[in-house]
This record gives sequence, structure tokens and C-alpha cells, in this order.
Amino acid sequence: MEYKIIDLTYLESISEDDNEFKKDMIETFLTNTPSYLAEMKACIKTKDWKRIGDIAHSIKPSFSLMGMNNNKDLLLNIENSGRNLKNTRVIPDLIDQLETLIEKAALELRIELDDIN
Amino acid sequence: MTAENSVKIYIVEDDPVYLKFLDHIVSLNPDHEIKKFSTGNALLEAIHDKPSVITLDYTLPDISGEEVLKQVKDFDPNIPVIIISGQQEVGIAVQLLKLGAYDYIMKDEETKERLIYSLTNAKRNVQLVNEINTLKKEISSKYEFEKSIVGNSPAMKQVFELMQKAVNTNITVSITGETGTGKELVAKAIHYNSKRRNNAYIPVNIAAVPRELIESELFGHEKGSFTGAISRRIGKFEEASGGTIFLDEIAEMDLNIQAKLLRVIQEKEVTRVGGNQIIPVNVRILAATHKDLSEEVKKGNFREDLYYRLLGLPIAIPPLRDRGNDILVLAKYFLDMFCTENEMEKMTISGPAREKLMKYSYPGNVRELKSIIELSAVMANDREISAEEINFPSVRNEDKFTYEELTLRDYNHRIIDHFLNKYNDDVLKVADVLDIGKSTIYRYLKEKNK
Repeated sequence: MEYKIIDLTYLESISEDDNEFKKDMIETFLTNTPSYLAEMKACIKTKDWKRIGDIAHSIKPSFSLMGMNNNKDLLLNIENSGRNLKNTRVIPDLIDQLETLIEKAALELRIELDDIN
Repeated sequence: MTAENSVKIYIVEDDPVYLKFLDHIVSLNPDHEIKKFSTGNALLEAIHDKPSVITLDYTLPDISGEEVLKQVKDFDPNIPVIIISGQQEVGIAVQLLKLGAYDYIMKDEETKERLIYSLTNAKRNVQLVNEINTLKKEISSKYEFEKSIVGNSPAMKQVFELMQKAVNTNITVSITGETGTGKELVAKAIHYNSKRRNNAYIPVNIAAVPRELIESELFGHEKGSFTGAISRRIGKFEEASGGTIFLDEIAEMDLNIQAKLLRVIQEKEVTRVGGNQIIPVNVRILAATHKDLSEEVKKGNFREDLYYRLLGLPIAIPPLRDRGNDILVLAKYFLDMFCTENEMEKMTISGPAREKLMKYSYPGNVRELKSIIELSAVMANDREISAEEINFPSVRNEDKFTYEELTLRDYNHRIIDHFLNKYNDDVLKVADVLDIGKSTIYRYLKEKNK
């Protein structure tokens, strides 16, 4: 199946037909990413930009695993702005973009899950 | 999976998605027993279970990967820690490798291959370190004083006392004793019971190295320093740094090399032949000789200043003939050892054979006794060695009359026999050679034929 946001080629090469593993990875991503997003949003209120940068850094590899490589720069921007305390005023806007991205990715990932089941 | 093959791998990763991913890769090998941690503190609490390898995420929510690495290394520097990080900065990787990280792997599309490769190498590393430690322990126990040096005569007890004193400090030890008394065994036992036991023990037999090569053997040489020096060579002193060098047959050393050795001992540094670089060395010196070094000093063959430098704690190993009952203790020890090594039934030594062993003078000392016992074990017709089956091979001309302990009267008879034999029973000739009356010889022959 062709997707616009995600690309599971790499994950599939790692899974080597182990659908359970693939399913598990996608479910874990779907469960955990919203809580990271929620934490980032909470940090906007407390202006804890550094923590936002750290979270962006932490979740970057799992976005790669879901093949969301076209949107790598978005997370990198949030990470750098947050950690270096530069251009922090754009961070809320970047996080809005991230939320939209995650929603779109989640839709595609659920389709994939349905396919597996 | 067997417990024997299982390898404990600890994975530390705060992102649940990536943790699952790493878990999947590591569990591809069924021998891996995996434990997962999402914080640095959780890992440090479980570190006492001694994991074989740790994979560590650099960015953790509680403490930094660098701090976790330091604490793991403080606990046990031999646990390989593979850092898996999203950081691309080279500086961080270099810093972590300097702190003792085993490898640094980026979170990217090559993570799987690199992690599998790194784990394989790290496990092999752990296995080798464990093997080395086991072997070191085995060697140390092999050279425990009582196990490696057999004997309980007063003369040997004194040697043990001195050895005990030698292991507690770094003092130079000079070991003297006739050939075959076990000088090298004493040197090894001192090293493997000293604080330096985990570092190198390097023996050098000065007499066995050609004179022109001894300098480069001891101190090393640079490429091209002399014809044949095709590459740089590290000398024995450098090899022994942190450990012990055993200079056997030290009396055979040339005077000009003695001067260089003295410099090395005084300055605690070596310069390779043909080189300019001064290399500091921290070496303990044990020296041995079968000669009387003070005599060699008097004769001008050995430098006096070096003699005093090397003297340190002198340990004189007594010759076997002065060790009384040790002869029988050692004979039994060598016989048991020979039987075990050759998968033979245990053997004993008969009473007359023991008496014969006690009477011999052993010019070749313990080494000679060992070969006598081994030969007799081979020659023996049953499980007990008889007196006839014991042969003393190394009776030299000058010892011909004294290799056994006899009365003067028996010695006299033996001498007369020898010369009668030599001069075809010509009593007058023998009386002339020995400057005794011919009646003495006749009297002896009469007694002998009774």
C-alpha cells in the first residue's frame, strides 16, 4: 500500500515477515506518540523549551522507523530551537505542525494495522 | 538456550518504540538474555547482576548517558558499553569513547547491522577477558609456594621465609644456587605471588642470547639501527613494564652491557639501540646465577656497583644433597607426577632404593633427581622401584669416588680397586702410584676375598 506520510519499507526489512513484531512496533508508536505530544504542549505553557528539544530528539528515531523521513527537518527544528533556546517563539507553531503530521501518520498506520489483522 | 551459552544483554532506551526495535534486534540471537531499562538509574540499580554487555541510549530523561557510562565503568571497567545515540556530533562520540565506551552507534538505517556486529565483537572481548582472568588465577595457584616448590627441610624453610619477604615489596632479588636447584621456579613463584602478578613475567637467559644481540634483546632497537634491524623491536625491559624481568645467568653478561643495565636500574628508563627516545620503565628485577658473584667481582668479570645494585634480597637455594629428607619427598612427588602424566598406576620406592637415593650427591640437583626418578619408573619391572632400577647417570670423573657417602676405609678400597683395574692388577705399580706399602694392598685383597 502506498502512503503519503509513512513508509514501512525499512521496518518490514527488519521484521522479516514477523507481522507480530511489525504490529507491535506500530501499536507502540500509536500509544506513545500522543503522550509525548501532550508533554510538549504542556511545556509550551511553562516555557520549558529545553525539555521540548529533548523530547523531539528522543522521538526522532521512532519517526524514522515509521519511515516519516520527509518530515525529519520538522523534529530537527524543534530539537535545535528548544535545546539552543533560539527562535523559541516559533516552537508553538512547529508543534502544531507536528500534531497535524502525527494525526495523518496515525490514520495511515491504522490502515496498515487493519491490513495486518 | 543453555545457561552456559546465555549472555546477559542490558538495553537502556527511554523511547518505547526504539526500545522494542533494539529488543527485536538483540533477541535475534537466542543466546541473549535481555533486560530492558528506560532510565539510567534503573540500570545502575541492576548493575550488580553483572551484565555481559550494555547498550546505552545517550539521551536519557534522568541522568546523562555520559554519567551512566562513568558509573558503569567505576563498577566494572570490563563490561562493554555500546552507546546508541541520535547525536551526530563527533565530539560527543570521541568523548564517550575516551571514557571507555566500547562502540558508538548512530540511530539510523544501519543500526541493525552495526549493533549485531558490535555485540559479536564485544561478547568475544568479554570471553577473552574472562579467559585471561581464569588463566591468571590458574597460574597464580600453580605458583603458590607450597604447591610449586616442594620440601620441608630447614634449609628450604629459610628459602620460603625469604620468598615471603620478597613478595611483599618490590626489592630486587638475587637468587643463587647450583644448576638444577630451581632458581627460575623461585623467581616465578615470587612474581606470581607479588602485587605485580597481573602484569608480565619476562624471563631472559643471558647465557642463551648471542653476545652481539643481548643489548637489543634487553632494550630493543629502532628500525635500521644495525644490519638486520629491519623493523623496530620492543626490548624485554619494555615488555616487562609494570611486571617482573628475570635475568638468569646474570654473571655471563658482558661488561659493557653491565654498564648499560646499571644505567637502566638507576634511571628507571631505557633507550632503544639506535634510538633517541627515552622510555620510562617500571620493572622489578629478579636476577640469578650459579656462580659466586662476589668472586666474579674480585676477578674483574662483574662490575662492583652493579653487584651491589642487584644484590637486594639474596636468596641462596641449597643444593639437594644438603636438603636431607627432601630428597625422598621430592622423589615421591616426581614419581606421582610422572605416573599421573603418563596415566600409569601409582608406584612406590623400595626401602633399599630409598637408601640408595639418600646416599647420592646429586651434582645436577633437583633436575637430576627428577630424571633419575622418571628413568627408574620406566625401567621398573613392577609397581615398586628397586635399588637396582635406580641409576645415577651423571657421575663425573671427579665425583666417581664420592657420589655415595661411604667410610674412609671403603673409599680407600674403592680407590685401590680403581687403580688395580687400571694397571692390570700390578700391585707394585699401584703401590708406587698411591705411595703406599704393597702389604696394604695385599691385606685389602685378602679381606676382600674372604
